[in-house]
Amino acid sequence: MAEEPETSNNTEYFKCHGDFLSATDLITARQRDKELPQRGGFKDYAPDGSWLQGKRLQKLYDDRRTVLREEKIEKLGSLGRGEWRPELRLVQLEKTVGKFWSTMGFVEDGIPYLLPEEALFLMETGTIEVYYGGIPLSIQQAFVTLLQCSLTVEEYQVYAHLSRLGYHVFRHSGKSNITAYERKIRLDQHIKDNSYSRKRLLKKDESDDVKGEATADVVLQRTKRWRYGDGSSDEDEEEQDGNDGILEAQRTLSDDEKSYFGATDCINSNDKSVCSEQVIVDGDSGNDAKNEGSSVIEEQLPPKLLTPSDSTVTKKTILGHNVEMVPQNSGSVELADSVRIGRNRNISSDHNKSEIDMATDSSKEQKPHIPYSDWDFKNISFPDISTGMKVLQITTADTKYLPPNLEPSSETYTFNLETMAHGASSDKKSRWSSMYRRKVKEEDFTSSDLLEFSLWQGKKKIKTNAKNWGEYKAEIVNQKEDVSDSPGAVLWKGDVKPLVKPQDAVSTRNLLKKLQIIQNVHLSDKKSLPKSDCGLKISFDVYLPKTKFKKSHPGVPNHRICVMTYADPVPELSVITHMASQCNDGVPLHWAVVDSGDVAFYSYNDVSLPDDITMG
Amino acid sequence: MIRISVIHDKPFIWNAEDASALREDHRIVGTLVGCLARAPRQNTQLGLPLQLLPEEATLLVEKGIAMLVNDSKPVQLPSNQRVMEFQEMRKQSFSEQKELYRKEKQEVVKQRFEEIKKGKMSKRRKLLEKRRVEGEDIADCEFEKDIEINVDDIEISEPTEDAFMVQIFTENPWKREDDLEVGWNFPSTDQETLRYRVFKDLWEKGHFLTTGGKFGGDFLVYPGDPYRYHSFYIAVCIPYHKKMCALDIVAMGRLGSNVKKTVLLCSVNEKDELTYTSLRWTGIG
Repeated sequence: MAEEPETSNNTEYFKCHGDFLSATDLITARQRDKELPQRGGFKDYAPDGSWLQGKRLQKLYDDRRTVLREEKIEKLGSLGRGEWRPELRLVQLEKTVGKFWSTMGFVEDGIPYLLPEEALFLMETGTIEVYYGGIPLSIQQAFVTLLQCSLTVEEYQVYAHLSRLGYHVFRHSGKSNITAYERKIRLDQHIKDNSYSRKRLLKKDESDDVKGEATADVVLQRTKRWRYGDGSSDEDEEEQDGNDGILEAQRTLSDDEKSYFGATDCINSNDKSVCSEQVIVDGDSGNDAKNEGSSVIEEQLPPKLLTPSDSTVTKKTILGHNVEMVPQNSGSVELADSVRIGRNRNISSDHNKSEIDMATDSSKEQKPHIPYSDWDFKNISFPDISTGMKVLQITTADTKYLPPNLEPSSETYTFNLETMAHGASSDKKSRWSSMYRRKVKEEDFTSSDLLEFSLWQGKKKIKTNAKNWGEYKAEIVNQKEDVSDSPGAVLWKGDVKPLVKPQDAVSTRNLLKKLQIIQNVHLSDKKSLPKSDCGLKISFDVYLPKTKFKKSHPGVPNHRICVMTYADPVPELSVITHMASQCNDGVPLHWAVVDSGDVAFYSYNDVSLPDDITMG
Repeated sequence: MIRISVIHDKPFIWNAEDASALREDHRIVGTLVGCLARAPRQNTQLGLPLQLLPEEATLLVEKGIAMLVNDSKPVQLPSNQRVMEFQEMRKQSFSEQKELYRKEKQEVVKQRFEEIKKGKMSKRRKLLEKRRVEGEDIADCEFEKDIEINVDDIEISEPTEDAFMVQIFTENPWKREDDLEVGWNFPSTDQETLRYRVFKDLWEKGHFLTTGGKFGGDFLVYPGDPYRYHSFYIAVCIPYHKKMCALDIVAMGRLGSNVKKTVLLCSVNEKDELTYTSLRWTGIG
């Protein structure tokens, strides 16, 4: 290494120990060894002062010195370039070289940025140079500056550890609003799911936690008002503005995104015509008094049909403009919405979540519609298959629905209930039916394709002397519990009664279920506690490296990481449950414990004890 | 005097010389936490900076081997002089590199002079053939005439600026301003004080100590350099009067025996002396 002369008082350089390489060194660095010094081999037991041990040790020290001293030297053309922007706490990217842009960074207002931890990592790997005021930062300076208000040192160490291994690590962005079903039917490709938006993360991170809580409270408040609405048009407008405020707090909207979001609740809903959560039916806008009623209806009953009235459907965009949406076939709802409705009815779930759901719903306005309100259920008749009827006749289909020249035979519309229920016709003694009968008997306790009714007690016929329905019911109940005719009846005579009755011996599974007093609880099923003072948070979402990885649409992460230090206490079960249930979409949560630079990963996994069940 | 840079309340060493000296001369190991320059994308061997335990930093300061420097101030906009110096430095480096490149290429040209000559001759031959075909009358001896080329006249292309090598500084190369006060208040709690005392005592006895988090203890105690030897003890620092249940002792004992190390329970008794109790798994009979 070139030793530098003593610094003169004029220079700003503080050169020490061959810091600054001369040109010769830089050129020779092009051909330097890329191999890591060997570290394997067995270790000695204890120092014995022997010459051999000393020699080995010295060689190790020399190798280490060589490797550590090497500076990061790269060709200027293969280095990207960024500029540190302290007011944004981001690195503005000016020149991209290589492939890192496909997995790191984001664009806002047309300007590409890197998050501070990404920039620091790229500097450490010798991929970019970050300039500030005209000169590039050294790693030491970058360490101080870039980690000032973004990640802690421990978090950065975990980030770097995982990134070096090749994972794509992002800051935790909350649970996605896309359900597993939507992923399965590939609807997620068309939904603009902004829960992964990095810009949103930044805005959230920049403001303190206090503000984040305030936002949540505001949302809670507003949502309450919607549900138990006060019903006044001023209120509505206020809520509209409130909507804007809340939505903006929760997302940073670019201008093109703004048009995607409509109002998030049926505030001006018609009394009976609530169709979906994102659409305002602007029929009688004076029906504000119905607010309350309709919102409540929305929660408790399945969504009513949009009556084929002349009410046009208007959406209120974020800016308050009304955008008309003429309903097709008197109103239509997207397929995914009908999937969601069941979910949104859950009042006890996070208000935040349902609110975001509704907002994202509206973003799918241009997607395929499936009319369901076309059906008039009053005129559609369902066959009556209760007991008492031996043969069921179903009305033949209208010929306009059938292919031409097709005459439906009456057999296809006739169902012999006895055959179906009992598995065999009691009249026919043909070989075919007896085989069928035998076969069904064997399969009695497993899933059967035949019709089954809950009151079907099998072969027993119930003789009753009941005069009314109440007496009959009592008789049934008694009969169920009546064990007097079996030898085991003596067990029920004392104070301590058995948990299971002979009638329960339908299958092993049934018996085991009855015996299980303590129910198994899964960590992921537990509802998250309202507030946890543990001070821990999920830091990162980790994705496996894939060729098709898209940073704008990363999808569900493969792992989530929560970072702690060794000095922190071991988390209690309540904390673990709370953290695990924060995003209960099946993604494992790992705990990264950092002990002065040493990173170790732990996880608490749900284990299901196996059920020993045999058939029969 | 070795400078320990305190960043976000953690001690770091940014200098390779210092890191090596600490290990070889002072038995302070620390943990490397940065990317290694020659192989940045792997986790087996890491590079600078070297993160020290707070105990290590306090010990070094106490022994007068190192001094703490507060480095937590974010970077300021550089002065004009700095910017000018930097650009000057780069320019000079580039011109020197250009010179070196040129020399290198000349070497290459000299080595391949014969090939170059052959290439030029065949080119000329082709040209003459063409002219002959077009009707010119050229004597046969023209083809074989020797080409006179001066080695030094051969053109060497100049490298663009992108081809020059630059260095990404690991340690801050600029002059430091007046060092701010270092607010180093380790050890503060009882547990920290205990840990520090144990660390110091074991270090003074000649051992090497590293973090013990992976083995369920406070420190790992090595008889020699961790590169060459396995650790003998897992040191667990426990307050003298703390009540422990037998299960904890069994757990620690089991852990130690599984990894072939002895668990060392360290505490400070009423006489302010350090006491060590070792756990060893042994059978009866």
